[in-house]
Amino acid sequence: MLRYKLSGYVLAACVAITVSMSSCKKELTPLTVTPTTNEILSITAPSSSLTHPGRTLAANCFQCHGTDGFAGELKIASMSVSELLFKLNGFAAKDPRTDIMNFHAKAYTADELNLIADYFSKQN
Amino acid sequence: MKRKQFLTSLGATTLGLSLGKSAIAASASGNDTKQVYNAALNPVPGQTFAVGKVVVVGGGMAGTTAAKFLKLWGGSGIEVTLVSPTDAYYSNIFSNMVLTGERSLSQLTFNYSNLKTNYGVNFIKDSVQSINVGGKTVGLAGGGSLPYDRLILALGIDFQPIPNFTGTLANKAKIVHAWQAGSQTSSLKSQLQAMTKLDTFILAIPPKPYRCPPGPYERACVVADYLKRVKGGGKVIVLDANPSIQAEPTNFTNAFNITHKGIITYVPNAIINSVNADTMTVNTTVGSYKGRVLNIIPKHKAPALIFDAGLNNSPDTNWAAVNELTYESTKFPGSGIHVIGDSCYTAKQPKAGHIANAEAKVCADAIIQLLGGGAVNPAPVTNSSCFTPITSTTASWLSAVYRYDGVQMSPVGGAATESNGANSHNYEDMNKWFNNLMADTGYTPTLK
Repeated sequence: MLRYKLSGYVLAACVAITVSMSSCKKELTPLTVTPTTNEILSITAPSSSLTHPGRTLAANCFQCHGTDGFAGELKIASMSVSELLFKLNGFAAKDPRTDIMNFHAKAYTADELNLIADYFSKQN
Repeated sequence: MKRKQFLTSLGATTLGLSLGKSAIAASASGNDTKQVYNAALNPVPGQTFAVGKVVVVGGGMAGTTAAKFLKLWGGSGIEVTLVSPTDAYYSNIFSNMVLTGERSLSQLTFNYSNLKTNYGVNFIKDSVQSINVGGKTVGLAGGGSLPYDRLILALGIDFQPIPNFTGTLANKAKIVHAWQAGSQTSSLKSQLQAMTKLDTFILAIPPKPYRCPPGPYERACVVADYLKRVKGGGKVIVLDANPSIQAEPTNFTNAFNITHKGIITYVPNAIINSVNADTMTVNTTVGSYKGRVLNIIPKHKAPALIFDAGLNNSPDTNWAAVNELTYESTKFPGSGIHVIGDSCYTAKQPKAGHIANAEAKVCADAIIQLLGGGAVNPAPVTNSSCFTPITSTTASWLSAVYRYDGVQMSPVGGAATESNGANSHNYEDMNKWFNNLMADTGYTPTLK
């Protein structure tokens, strides 16, 4: 019965995720499906989303920039940390009333902005 | 069970993955925002450290976001059941533009297919009638009950009666709030479109707290803009029960006095004493006003379930006060009952869709920690951002960030910031904001 509880992601997650999953290992045995390389790659993003210390801060960007930064327009997922910080610092220097990002860029500490930038840089 | 079912679900999941990737590829080109609605870009993970049953009541902005993020962050070990009386959600955001014909109600209709298919949320079309606080179950109107480890109430708003409301039933039925998008929006649209340039539209704003602080002022602007553009003139009288404009005071003052000069009359401190639907007259503490259309937004309160369960312990007894770290009811601490969005009371956060999305994420994260024996985030951050159309081609915006100050969520810098007027660039950003907000919340647009 155990195997029926599994989803493809649990399987793939056991291979790639860094979160500890002791029960996962037990459940792996009866399953015969082997994840492809693509599947493993594609779940590395949620594993870092799950454990990343910037996740809840970054979630305040999702409404305009898409969940995990994957908006159709205004996409910020997979931008580099330096590019994101460069943009955020640029916004912080603008007139608060002409750019909506000014207020957001100034509402977080430098450490928090680093965490947020690191989070989005790892979404791909 | 159900090997077949399992295989199907595995197949679907893998398909979901590949869809997700193609959506990312498509979105990189930046020209198809609809793609972002269609798949879970990062899939729901397997079982994390958190295991339990969560029932979410209400499929508005708060409840839908909570259901999505419980799965996305909590993994397959959290069984999430969303109970909503309807499987179609009409967005309140943008619904003022339905009145003027700039949008259609069908463009603002969303469903839960993404939530069900890509996030594995169970959906039950029903209403919750009762809560067994000790037994941790909710009773459904359709019969039966649902057990929970954690319950999230995301019920939205209800209205208090209009004071001394008289007239025939047929005439009273014409006086709508249209403050929950749907049939009343269509009714108010028809009434507005039947107006001539000699007629008056009366908009009555309730005392705070009410849903979407800039919303009524936005409505005054787009109605005035419509009357001027389409009818060649008309009057809008804004009867505000509050002493002043409650959001974007500079932008709306300029919109009323300059952009829509000669059409909008703003009357503060206008508390309603009575409304006569036969003579279409509103009597207020500052005078009587007569109009062709009366759009009365009554004073708000939380829906009945909050009162029935005894959760209405806010200072004014109309809302459910919550621990602002977890959104658990302060009436029954430790009960596992959480209240988010418009029906909860937090001292400083507004009632609105964008911040309901942010509150839902804080609540979902806290519940995952509580179910898994982890530590609740001691320093949550939320934000409220909102674009408001001022004309059919221009918009303004406001923005605020809230941080936990040891007692409650407080606005960074003490207050919201508003844009430097309204312009067409903001109007374009407004459309992007809306698409991305609805997608992040977990909705699927019903119009393809």
